[in-house]
Amino acid sequence: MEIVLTGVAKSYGDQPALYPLDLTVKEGEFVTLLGPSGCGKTTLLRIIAGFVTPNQGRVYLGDTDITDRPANRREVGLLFQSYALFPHMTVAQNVAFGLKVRRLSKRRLAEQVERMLDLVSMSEYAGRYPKQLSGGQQQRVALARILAIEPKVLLLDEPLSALDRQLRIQMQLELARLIAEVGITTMFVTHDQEEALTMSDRIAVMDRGTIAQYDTPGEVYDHPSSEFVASFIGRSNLIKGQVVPGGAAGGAQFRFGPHSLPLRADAARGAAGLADGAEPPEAAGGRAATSGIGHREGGTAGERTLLVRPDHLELLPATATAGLPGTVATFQDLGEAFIYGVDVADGPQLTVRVPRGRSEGLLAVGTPVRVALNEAAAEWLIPAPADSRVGAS
Amino acid sequence: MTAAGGALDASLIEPERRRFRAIPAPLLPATIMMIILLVAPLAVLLSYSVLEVNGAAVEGGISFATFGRLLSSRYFWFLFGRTFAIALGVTLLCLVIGYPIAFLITRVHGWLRAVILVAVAAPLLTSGIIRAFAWIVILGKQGLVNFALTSTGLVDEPVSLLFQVRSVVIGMTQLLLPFMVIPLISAIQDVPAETTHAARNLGASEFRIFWRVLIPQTVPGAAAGITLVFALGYSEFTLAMLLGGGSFNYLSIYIYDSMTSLLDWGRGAAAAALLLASSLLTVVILNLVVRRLTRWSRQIN
Ligand SMILES: Nc1ncnc2c1ncn2[C@@H]1O[C@H](COP(=O)(O)OP(=O)(O)OP(=O)(O)O)[C@@H](O)[C@H]1O
Ligand SMILES: [Mg+2]
Repeated sequence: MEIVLTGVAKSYGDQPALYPLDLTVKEGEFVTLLGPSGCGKTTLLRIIAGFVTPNQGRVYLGDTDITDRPANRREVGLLFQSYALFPHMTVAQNVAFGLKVRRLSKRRLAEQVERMLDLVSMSEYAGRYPKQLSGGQQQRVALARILAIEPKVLLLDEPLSALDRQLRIQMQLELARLIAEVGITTMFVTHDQEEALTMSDRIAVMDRGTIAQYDTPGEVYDHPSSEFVASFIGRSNLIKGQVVPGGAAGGAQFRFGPHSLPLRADAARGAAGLADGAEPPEAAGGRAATSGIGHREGGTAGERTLLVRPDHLELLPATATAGLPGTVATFQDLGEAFIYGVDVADGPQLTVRVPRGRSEGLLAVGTPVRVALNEAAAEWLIPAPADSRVGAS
Repeated sequence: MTAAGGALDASLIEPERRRFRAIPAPLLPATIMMIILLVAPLAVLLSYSVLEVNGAAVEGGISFATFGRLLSSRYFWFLFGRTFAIALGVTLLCLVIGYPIAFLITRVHGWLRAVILVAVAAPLLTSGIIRAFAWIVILGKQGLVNFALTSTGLVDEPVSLLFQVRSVVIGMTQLLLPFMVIPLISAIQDVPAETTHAARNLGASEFRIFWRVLIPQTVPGAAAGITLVFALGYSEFTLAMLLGGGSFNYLSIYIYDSMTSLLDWGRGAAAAALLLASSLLTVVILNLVVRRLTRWSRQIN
């Protein structure tokens, strides 16, 4: 079922945890709340589950306003980070707990418990107590317990963070599979961006009590609405400079210091926007932060930030004519790729990701190179923020 | 779950380490003190129960005649039953009164919490005699309770509350309440708040959460309280003596009388041995029951 939040805000004492925000999760959608620690993710989930009362705003489940409904009558399933299994009950009793509240007949209850344990492949552990299970197993029991009551929506608060890496990846796939199988509307909290990118239909990136951007993983990665979003998700080069006319594309160039980079496809659209220029910058928050916003704003003379992902850059030999001159400053071996930090002469340091297969041997620190945009490059001009820092360095 | 996953999960479960450990060196002085001050006198005392004694003097070899005499006495069995029943009754009362108090203490903060805690722990801070006399003042014919009852016209004649089983039970309950409340407080505080939230999320009413989620998780604490209160109540002496009055008898009083008034050390020692043994037995049985009830709190090997 659809979840709709309108103008929801929450302060603890005089300390705001959430500024008024709108958010809609469509029926059957898998949405991830992503953000650094303390940005209000848990608070938002708890408001939907009914454990925290918002200071203002309404919460809807489908067409029903549930803002004032007590937590035990919301039919919103919340999976806790700590699993919160009942330690004094067996696995089967844990799963049966919510069903007993609903006064199912003995037979239907037993059937449902079995069905759920089967779903999460925990049938053979039915008689065990939670203390006798591993973290991943407890996780699955907690999921079975929630799904057993057939909630209208499912909320998961960092369900994987207590697991070690290997198990986390395994459970991540399994969770995604289970949720898809049940087809339930899901909100998932994490501060692990990899998790967010792989699992979600849409990501809401949160920053200090606001939603900085709400979009598909691809849009959030390629067209972030702010520097915060750009730097929070994936590795990024954020280059400060100006947009000036000219260049081979017949559009615009991005100039920083003595250097310039051609603005291509998307960014060229941004430059076209810059030409008619007068539109005021829009707030980068809530639903307004759609992918289109970056194309319509900014001041021609103002300083802008260009996002270039490390995998959109390549290293050329120092003898090449294309690209920007620089020297290798840092080097990191990721296994499947190398990450180079290249000091551009009279410019910023740029991070370049070179896939292992593509590189002809390692480049030592100090090697002169040239950095250029590769074929796949899609730079992105970060939309100027509402409190326009135009002109500031 | 795949087979590989199962193997992985099994390896994640840490085996419980529950081996007997030798007494560490720093505990040695305390251990020696315990042996000299507690174990040795107890051994001497108990030895009287199996020796042929006349008064306080050892006369002959080993004999179980004293035990035979005691165990065939109907009065002794009556006394035994009464003592057991009173201790059990006091334990139940402490449990019933202790739970709400413990919950209250975990729910309030600041000075209110301090006041309630001190009020509960107060009996431990005063001498047994003074405490007993305080109860005499409260429960006597001209005492506080009777004053309240007669002055409000609830009763015409003062009711007799003192020097009876009930005054002993009241006094002991107050005395032993902290031994119930304190372990309960820590047990309640140990219950993860998330489990009650999860229960609410699953649709449970507050009533169900209380009885099905909260209370069961405090069983280990209640068990500790029950053990302490029962063992202490079962062997309580001062309160039984002072609040029970002349006609009241209790196993501890019986032992005292045997030793001092009758100078029958054999009988006193045998009764003491039976008191100790039955107390231990009860505590062991209790713990077996609790272990079964709290299987969930143990990890498997
Ligand atoms: N019960 C509370 N009382 C006071 N302040 C609170 C309370 N709960 C949360 N906060 C504050 O509200 C803000 C948001 O907290 P929240 O738990 O929602 O963050 P989060 O995004 O879930 O962080 P994390 O990733 O660390 O779990 C934080 O600054 C936190 O200190
Ligand atoms: Mg959180």
